[in-house]
Amino acid sequence: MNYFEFKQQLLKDSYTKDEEFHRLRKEDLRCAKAYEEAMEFEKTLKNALQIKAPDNLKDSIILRQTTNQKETLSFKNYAMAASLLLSFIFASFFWYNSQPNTVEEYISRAFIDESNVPLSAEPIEFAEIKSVFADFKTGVSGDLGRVVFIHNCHTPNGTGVHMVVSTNQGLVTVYYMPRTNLDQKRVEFDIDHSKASLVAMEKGSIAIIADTEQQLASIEPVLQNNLYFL
Amino acid sequence: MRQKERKFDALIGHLSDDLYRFAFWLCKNEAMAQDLVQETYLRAWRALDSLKDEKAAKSWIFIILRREFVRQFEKKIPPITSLDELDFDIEDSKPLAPDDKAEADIVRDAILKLEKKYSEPLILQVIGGFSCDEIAEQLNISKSAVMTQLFRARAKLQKALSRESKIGKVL
Repeated sequence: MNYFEFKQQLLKDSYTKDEEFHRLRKEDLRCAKAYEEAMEFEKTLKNALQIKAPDNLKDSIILRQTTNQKETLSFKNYAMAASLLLSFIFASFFWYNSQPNTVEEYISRAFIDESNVPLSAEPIEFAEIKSVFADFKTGVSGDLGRVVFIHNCHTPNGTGVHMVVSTNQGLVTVYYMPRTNLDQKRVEFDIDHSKASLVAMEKGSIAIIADTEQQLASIEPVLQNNLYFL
Repeated sequence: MRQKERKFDALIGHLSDDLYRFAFWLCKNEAMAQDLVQETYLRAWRALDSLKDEKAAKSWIFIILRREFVRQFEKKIPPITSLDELDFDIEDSKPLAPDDKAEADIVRDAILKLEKKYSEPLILQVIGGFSCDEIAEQLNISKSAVMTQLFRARAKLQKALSRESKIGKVL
């Protein structure tokens, strides 16, 4: 390194730790003088750049960071609440849409869902049958046939009676719906391969589901004649 | 106090003043510089978990500030080329003799006139205390380019100073 290279190095990086540079600084008078003058300039440069930072700088940094944290937290809370609300709205929407719109749909779904109810090997006693119907202010005046299942159930309007009657032609399912009134006196429809009838009663209605129309026709008058409103 | 908060406090304690000076010379505006430093620390807080080597913290936060400056502050800086156009008084951290103060003002004025490519490495070297290698890494340029820019920056400042002061006879 010669004097000119030394001066160039001073302009590039006077803080260098290069050994050759520092050897020249100590041994060469011209280099030593140049170094001294360069250090004077560096001092001026530092003075020029060393402006005073605002007194409140650290506080303002912490305040900004804290405020942002709170805003983020608050935003997260709002986002969570909005997300819950949206979930609720979507769930309600899908639940509402999944609900049956007509009595026929309701009965179809109930029949499919409750197709595996436990049937009694022996006919259920008449007193027990009367007792179940009595809960709905309905009397039973005569024999309803060989009832092998009877239980309370949900209906489109409140509760009712789910009953299964065993006949020679097969099982007949009956839904008694004391609070579900029909627009028409009678509605006939199919559920898969089964036949179904909705029949208006003195109060409410009754749904009958069987394999054939003959079965429906045979059990309907029995129910019409023997069930009465108390 | 949680570890993250301790790390953050240390970052503020050691570096905020130098960071502010760097921001000021980039923005040439006190309010904007303060805003830039706050924004830098906010980003540093969010990314603090990614800082694995605490020895690299200084370089890391200067890089954040520089990126933030380019991202949203550079376009807004006022077109100031003279010390007289600055709308505030620069306070010195320590009182200077009248001659020294005059020289510092000449150099400040000259720094304002420097192109960013010359002033930025110079400020990083003098204020940040970064080596040429570190500056090269921060500015994403070669070490030789950094040295050239530092050489030219100092030459320009010394030339400005030589016109006004006897200290400028260094050249």
